[in-house]
Amino acid sequence: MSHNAQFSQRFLPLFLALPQLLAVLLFFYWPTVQAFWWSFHYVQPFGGSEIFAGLANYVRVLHDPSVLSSLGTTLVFSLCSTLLALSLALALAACLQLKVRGYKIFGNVLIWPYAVSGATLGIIFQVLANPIFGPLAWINHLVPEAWAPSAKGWQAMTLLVFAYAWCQLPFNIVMIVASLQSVPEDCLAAAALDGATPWQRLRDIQLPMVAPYLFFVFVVGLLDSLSNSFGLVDRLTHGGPGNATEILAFKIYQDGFVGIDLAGSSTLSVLMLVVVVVLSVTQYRYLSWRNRRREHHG
Amino acid sequence: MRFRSLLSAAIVWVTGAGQAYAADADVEFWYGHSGAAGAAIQDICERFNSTHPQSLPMRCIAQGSYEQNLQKTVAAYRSGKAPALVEIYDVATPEMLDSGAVLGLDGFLQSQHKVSDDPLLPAVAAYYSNADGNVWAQPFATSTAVLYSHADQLAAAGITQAPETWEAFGTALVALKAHGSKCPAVTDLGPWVWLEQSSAVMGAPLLSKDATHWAFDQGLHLRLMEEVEQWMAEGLLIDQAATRSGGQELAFTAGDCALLLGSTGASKLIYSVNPSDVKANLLPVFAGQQRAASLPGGAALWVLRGQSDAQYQTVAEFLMFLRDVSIQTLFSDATGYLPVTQGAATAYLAQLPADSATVVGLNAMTQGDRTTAFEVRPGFITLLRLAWQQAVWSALAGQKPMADALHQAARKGDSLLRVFENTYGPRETDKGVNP
Repeated sequence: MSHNAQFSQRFLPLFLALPQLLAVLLFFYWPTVQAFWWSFHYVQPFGGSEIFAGLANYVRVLHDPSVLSSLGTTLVFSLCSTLLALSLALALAACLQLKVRGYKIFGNVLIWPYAVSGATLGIIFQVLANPIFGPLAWINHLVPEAWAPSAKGWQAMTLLVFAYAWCQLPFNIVMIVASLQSVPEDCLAAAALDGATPWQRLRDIQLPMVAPYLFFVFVVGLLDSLSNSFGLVDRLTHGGPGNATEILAFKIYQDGFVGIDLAGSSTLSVLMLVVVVVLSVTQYRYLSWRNRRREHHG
Repeated sequence: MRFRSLLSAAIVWVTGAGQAYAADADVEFWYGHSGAAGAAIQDICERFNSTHPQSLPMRCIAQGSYEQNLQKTVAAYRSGKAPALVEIYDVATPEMLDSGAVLGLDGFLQSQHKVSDDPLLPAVAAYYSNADGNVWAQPFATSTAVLYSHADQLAAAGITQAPETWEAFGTALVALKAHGSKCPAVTDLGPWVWLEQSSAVMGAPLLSKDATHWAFDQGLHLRLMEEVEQWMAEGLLIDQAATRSGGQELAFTAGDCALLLGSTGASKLIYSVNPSDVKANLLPVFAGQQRAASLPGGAALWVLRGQSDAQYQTVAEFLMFLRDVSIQTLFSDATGYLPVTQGAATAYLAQLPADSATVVGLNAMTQGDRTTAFEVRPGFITLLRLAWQQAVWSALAGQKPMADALHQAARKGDSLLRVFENTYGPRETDKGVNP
C-alpha cells in the first residue's frame, strides 16, 4: 500500500489546497515582497508617488541609535525569556517524569496557559505588577519607590521576560516531555538499578539524549520571541520606560503604524526577516550536521 | 468542467459583493473617540440625520483611537474604500496636507456653495492652513494645554494663587511637599504638553529658522527639562504610574495631586468631582519671559477624495451643521473640547467664569502676537515625540544627562526631517504660521 495520497484528477489536489495557498500568498508572500519593495523607496502612506531611495533607508536605519538600542533590547529580551522558559519547562518536564501522584493532571494543567493570548497576559501582568495595589506593592511599603517598573527600565524588562517566559512555558513543556519520553526506558531502569538518582539519570542520560530537541525548542522559542511578543509588549510596557523594552517587533509597529514611516518600518522588517532566516538556517544546518555525524558514527 | 463552473461562480460572487459595497447609499464619517466624546458625536449624527432628510444619511463610525483611525484611513484609502470624512489628529496634519488624498476645506465648501458667516478662530484655522492661507481641514475636538490646580490644597500650603512662572511652580511644589502632600504635581511627561505647548507659550523655537533641524536641545526647553529632572528626583513632580489611579487626570481629579499640566479636553473629567475647587490657569513661563500663544491640539475633519457628488453634498451640509453655534455648544458641553468658531467662542467667553478651562484655553491661544514654536509644521512629529519621550525617560533613569538625551532626540528628528523632505519634496517655509 502506498503511503502517499494519490488523486486521479489532475487539478483536484491544487483546488483543495487553493484556499491555503491563497492565504499564504496573500498574507505572507505578498506583504514580504511589498516590504522589500518599500525598503528601497520613499513611500507616501496614502499611496502617492514612490521615489527610489537605493540603500538610503538601510543606511538611515543602521545609523539610527534607537534601532541599535532596539536590537540590543531584543537580544536581551529574546535570550533571557527563551532561556528562562526552557529551563523552567525542563525542570517541570523532569518533575512530570517522576510520575508522582496526579502527574497526568499536572501535565494537562501546565498546558492550559498556552491558550491565553499575549495581549490578555499583558493586562494580567499589568495588574500583578502594579506598584500601588499589586501583589508586589509590599516592596514599596518596605522601601518606598523600590518597585517601579514604569520608571525603571531593568524592572520593566524583568517583568516582560517573566511574562513572556510564562507564555512560552506550555509549548516547551509539551516538546520536552515528548522528547524525554523518547529516551529508552531500559536505559533509565538499568541506571536506576545501578543506583543512579533521578537527578543523575537526568543529567547523564536524558539530557545528552534529548539535547537536539532542546536546541530545537530553544531556536523555535527564540524565533517566536522575535515576532510573537508584540501583543505582550504593547499591553504591558508599551516599549517603555523610555525605550527600555522597545523590542524590534514593537518598533516596527510604532514606526510604521503610529509614525506612518512605511519605508523605515519596512526596512526594519526586512532586517528582522534576515535575522529569522539566519537563525532558521543555522538550526537546520546544525541538526543536519548532527544527523550526518550520528549516521557516520553508526 | 465542474471546477470551471465553481471558479466562475466564485468570481461572480466576489465581484458582485464588491459592487454592492460600493453603492453610495450613505456617507461615512470615521472618528477617533470613545466614551463621552463618542456618544456626543453619535448624538450629533442622529440630529443631523433627523434634521436633514434631503441629504444622504451620515454614518458616523468609531474607529478606536486617533492613531487607529489614521491607520485604518490609510489602509482604506489605499484599497479604494475610504470614508468621505475623517477625523485626523493634529500631528498628522503635514502628512494629510501632502497626501494628495484630501480636498482643501475652503475650496470644497466653495464648490458646494457653502459660506459660513461665523469664521473659524484665527489661531485654530492657521494651524490647518496652507501657504496661501487656505484652510484645508475643519477643526474639531480642539483643545490646548492649561495648568489645573486645586485651590484648597494650594491655600493650605500658603500659596494664594496658581503659579504663573516656572520659578513659582517650583516654589509651590516645595511648599506643597513641606505641607505633607505626597503628590504636589502629577505628570505623564507627554511631549504635547512638555515639549510643544510649553515651548510655544515661552516663545522658544522648536525648529531652526530655516527648518532644517530641531532646536529644542538648547535654550529654554533644555532649562525646563533640567528643572523637571530635578523635581522628579526630589519627589515634587510625580509620574502618573506611581499614583493610585495610574493616570494623571484621574489622580488630579481624585484630589491625590495638587497641580496638573493637562489638556482642556480633559476638563469634563477634571471638573466632575469638585468643580469649585479646581482652577485653570495659563501654562507657566520663566520669569521675565514674554508670553506667547499656545498651540491648538486635538483633531480636524478632512474631506477625502473619491466620493460621489451626492456624498460630497452631504459632507458639506454636515460640516456646516457642525459649525452651528448650538451644535458646537452641545459638543463642548458634553466633552470639554473648545469651540472653533468666533461666534461660539464669544458665546462661551460670555457665560463661563474666567478661570474655567475653556475660557483660559481660548485666551491661551491668543496670547502675544503669534507662536514661534512652529514656524513650519514639520513632518513625522509622532516619531519625533517618541524619540523625545525615550530620550527624556533615559535621562530620568540616569542613563545620560538631559542635555545629551535631548540632543540625541533632536538629531533623530533631523534625520526624520530629511526623510520627510525626500518623501514629499521640500517644505514651504511659511506653512502653519499663526497670524
